[in-house]
Amino acid sequence: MEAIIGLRGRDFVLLAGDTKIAHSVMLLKSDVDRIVEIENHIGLAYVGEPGDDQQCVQYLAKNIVLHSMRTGTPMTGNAAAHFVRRTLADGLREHPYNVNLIMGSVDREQAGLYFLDYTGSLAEVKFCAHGYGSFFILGLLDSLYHDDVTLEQGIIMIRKCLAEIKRRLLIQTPAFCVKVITKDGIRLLSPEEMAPRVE
Amino acid sequence: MSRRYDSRTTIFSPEGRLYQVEYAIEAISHAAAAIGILTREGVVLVGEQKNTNKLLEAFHSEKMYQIDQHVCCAVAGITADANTLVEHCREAAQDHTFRFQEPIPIEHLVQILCDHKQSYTQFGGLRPYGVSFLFAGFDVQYGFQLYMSGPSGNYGGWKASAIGGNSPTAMSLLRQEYRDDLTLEEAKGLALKVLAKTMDTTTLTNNKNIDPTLPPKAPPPGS
Repeated sequence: MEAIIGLRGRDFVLLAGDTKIAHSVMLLKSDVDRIVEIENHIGLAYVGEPGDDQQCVQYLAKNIVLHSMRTGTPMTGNAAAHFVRRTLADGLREHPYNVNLIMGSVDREQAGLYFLDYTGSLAEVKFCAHGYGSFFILGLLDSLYHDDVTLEQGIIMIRKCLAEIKRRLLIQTPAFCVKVITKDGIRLLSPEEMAPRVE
Repeated sequence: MSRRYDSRTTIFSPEGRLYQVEYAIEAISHAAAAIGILTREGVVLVGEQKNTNKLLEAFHSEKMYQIDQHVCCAVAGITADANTLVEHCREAAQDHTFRFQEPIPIEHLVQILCDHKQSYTQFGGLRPYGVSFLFAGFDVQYGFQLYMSGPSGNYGGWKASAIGGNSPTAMSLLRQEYRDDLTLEEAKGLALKVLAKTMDTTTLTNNKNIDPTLPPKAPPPGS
C-alpha cells in the first residue's frame, strides 16, 4: 500500500516498489518483490489488497506468456497494457480486483510506461506512482523530470523519491526494490547502485 | 464399400483417410485459380474470375477480400463458404484490435481461421468448408507474409503459392521461376504469366477475367 513508482526515459524504464506486506497493524513480511517480470521485456509493479493483487497479477502474467506461446510472438508492452486494462475492466462489476498497477516495457528499443488503476483506467505516462507515497512523488518528479533523462539521471531521481518517502511518510519504509528495463531485459538494481555516490 | 465412410466427416476410413475433407479439396480443384507471390517489397495476389456471363453485373470481386487494414486474402472454392469464413476472420481481426489496440499478427489470424476450419473435420457431422485461402499481410514482427490454408485446417507460410484449378501446374511453374530478389513489379508479371499458362482459356482478355489486387500497404515501421 505504501508506494510503487515508475519512470521512463527514451530506451529504459525504472520501476520501484516497497517491500512490505502489512496486515492490520502487523508487518508480515519486509522483503517482498512487487515488480513481476514478464518475458524479459515487461515489468508489472502492483499495490493493493493482499491476495487480490497476487491473484490478479499472476493471472495477467501467465496469460501474457500464454498469448506469446500461442502466437509465437511476444506481446508488445502496448498490447499487454491494454490486455491488463481490459481484464480489470471486465472484472469490475463482478469480481473486482483491488489492485493498482504500473507496467513498464521496452520493445523494439522503445520504452513504454503505463499507469493503470483498479477501475480499469489506463494512461501512457512519463512517470507515475501509486500508494501513499505518490502524494510526495508526483510533485517531486514534476520538478525533476525532463524528456532527455538518462538512466543515471533516472536512478538519481528515483533515489530522491525514495529518500522523500523515508523522510515524510508516517509509515516507515526502510527498504525498496528497484528494477530497470532496457532492451537487454529486466535487471534488479543492487543496493550499491541505489546508494548515493560519494563525491 | 467406401460409402460407409463417405457420409460421415468425422470418421476415418480403414486406410486412414477423411473422405469428406478430400472431397472438399477436390471441389476446390475445380474452382477458379488464385496465385500469391511474396517479395521483399510486398505481396501480390492474382485471381481468375470465372463468371463470364455478360448479363452479370460484377459489383465486387468474389475472389479477393480485405480482412483488415494490413491483411487481405484470395479464395478458391465455394464462394458462400468463403463469405462465412471471411466474416469470421474480420471479426477476429477487429476483436484483436479491440482487446490489444494493435493490428492482429497475420499468423495469429490464420491460426484462428484454421482452428475454426479444423473443427468441421472432427465434430458435429457437418460438412467441412470447401474453401482454400491465400492470405497476404504485413505485421511489424515478421514483415510481409503469405499463407495458404485448405479445408482440413492446415496452413503454412509460403514464398509463392497457388490454390484452385490447376494449382499443381502453377506451383511447379512458380518453383522454377521464383527468386528471392523479385521486385513487386516482376512478381506481378510472374503471377499473371503463371495464371495465363494454367488457365483453361488460352488468351487473357485484357484484365477482364484477371483480378490483380494491390498488396496491402505497409504501415510505417514502429506504428
